[in-house]
Amino acid sequence: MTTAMERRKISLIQDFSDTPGGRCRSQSEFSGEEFRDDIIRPALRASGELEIDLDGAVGFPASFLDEAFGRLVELEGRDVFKRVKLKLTDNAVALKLLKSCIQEHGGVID
Amino acid sequence: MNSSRYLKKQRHERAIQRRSLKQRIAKKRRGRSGSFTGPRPVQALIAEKLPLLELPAILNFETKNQETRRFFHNLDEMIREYKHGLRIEHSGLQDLSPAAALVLIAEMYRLHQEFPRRLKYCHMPKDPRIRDLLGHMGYFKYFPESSWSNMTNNSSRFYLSHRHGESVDPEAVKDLLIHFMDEQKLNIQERQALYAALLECMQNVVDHAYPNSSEYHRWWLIGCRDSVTHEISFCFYDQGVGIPETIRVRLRDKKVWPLAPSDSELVRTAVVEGHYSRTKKVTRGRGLPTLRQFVNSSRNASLEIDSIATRCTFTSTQITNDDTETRFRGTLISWRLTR
Repeated sequence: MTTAMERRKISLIQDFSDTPGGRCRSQSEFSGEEFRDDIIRPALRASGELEIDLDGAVGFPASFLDEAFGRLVELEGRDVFKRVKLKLTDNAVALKLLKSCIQEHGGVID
Repeated sequence: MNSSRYLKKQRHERAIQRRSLKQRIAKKRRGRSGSFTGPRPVQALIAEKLPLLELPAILNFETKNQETRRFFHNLDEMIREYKHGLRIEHSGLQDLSPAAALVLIAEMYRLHQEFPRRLKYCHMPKDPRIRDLLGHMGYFKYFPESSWSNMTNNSSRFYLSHRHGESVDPEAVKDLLIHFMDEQKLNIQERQALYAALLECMQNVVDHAYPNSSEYHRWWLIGCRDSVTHEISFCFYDQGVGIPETIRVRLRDKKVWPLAPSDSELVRTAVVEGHYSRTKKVTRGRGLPTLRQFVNSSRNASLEIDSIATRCTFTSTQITNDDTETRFRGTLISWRLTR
């Protein structure tokens, strides 16, 4: 018997905020830590595969991206982005930065 | 028997009324009556006895840097020295830049926080432009007895009331971008870059500017737009150890000691290259270089940084820096853009 794994979708602006904040929960509203621990990881645990839509945000501070996605590699393993697909089409600078964060933490991303 | 008891009771009640009346009169004389409105005479008398701090005619980091630094240095000493309060005379002010106004606001906030019971009196500025600048920035809320009221703005300059915080505040930056929207058609990439850069500046203050954990990790922000020149600008200030000292601590941690760079060299490198990060990660040290990219893209733009004993100015054509003996508390970033 096989079970088809359902890919769950998360929208940053609908499920979290259009104004991503700083690094840690204790230092900032809508922090990278909050997004990772309260939104991404529970969804990943529940469904196994995720698609995260990051479009529509006012902007992305580097510390938010590093904490949310770079640290995710440390917590979920270097291949986590085989299970998590990211969509960011309206901010080329942030996309480049996002890939650098993931690679700096040893993660693999296409 | 009954009538005697009745008379005794009446005498007793009259005595209570007399005592209460005497107490009310005495209280009024001391100036503590809750029903008394307007300036309280005794407090006004106390105010006259307080040491007077007279603001100079010009407070402007751009045109009178040394004098402005010296004033804030003296103000810092006065705040520490005078235990009972201060009388602040604004009437002589003729030229006040938004950056200097922000530092003044931060000092008043500090006075308010550190010494909440200390008295503060404010003599209003005579110049209506300065009165409105301070009023719109929210300065007079630190002087509950001041009489400024938000009527109309006859000037072409519009100020966003100052924001301050101890944490990274995305909403404050979003409000600033909304404030700018009427004057500058920043494209979506520019808005994204400005948002990210300012939040990085806030993150730096929270992470590094105040190494002593007992201090409050606070920043202040104001925004300004001009409907005639279409200039947009903001000033961001913290009262921390300053950029040069932050970098020196990082270099010491890494045991890397280049040949004793001056304060201005350190600030300059942090802005131009942004690589004095302890970790050398791509996500660190991005705020100031991003702000400078805007300056490079326009002939009418500038980035000015006053930090401890240095002042650096960046425009699209040149970088100037000046090391000075008059030390300044913290770091002040002034950014403006016109197209």
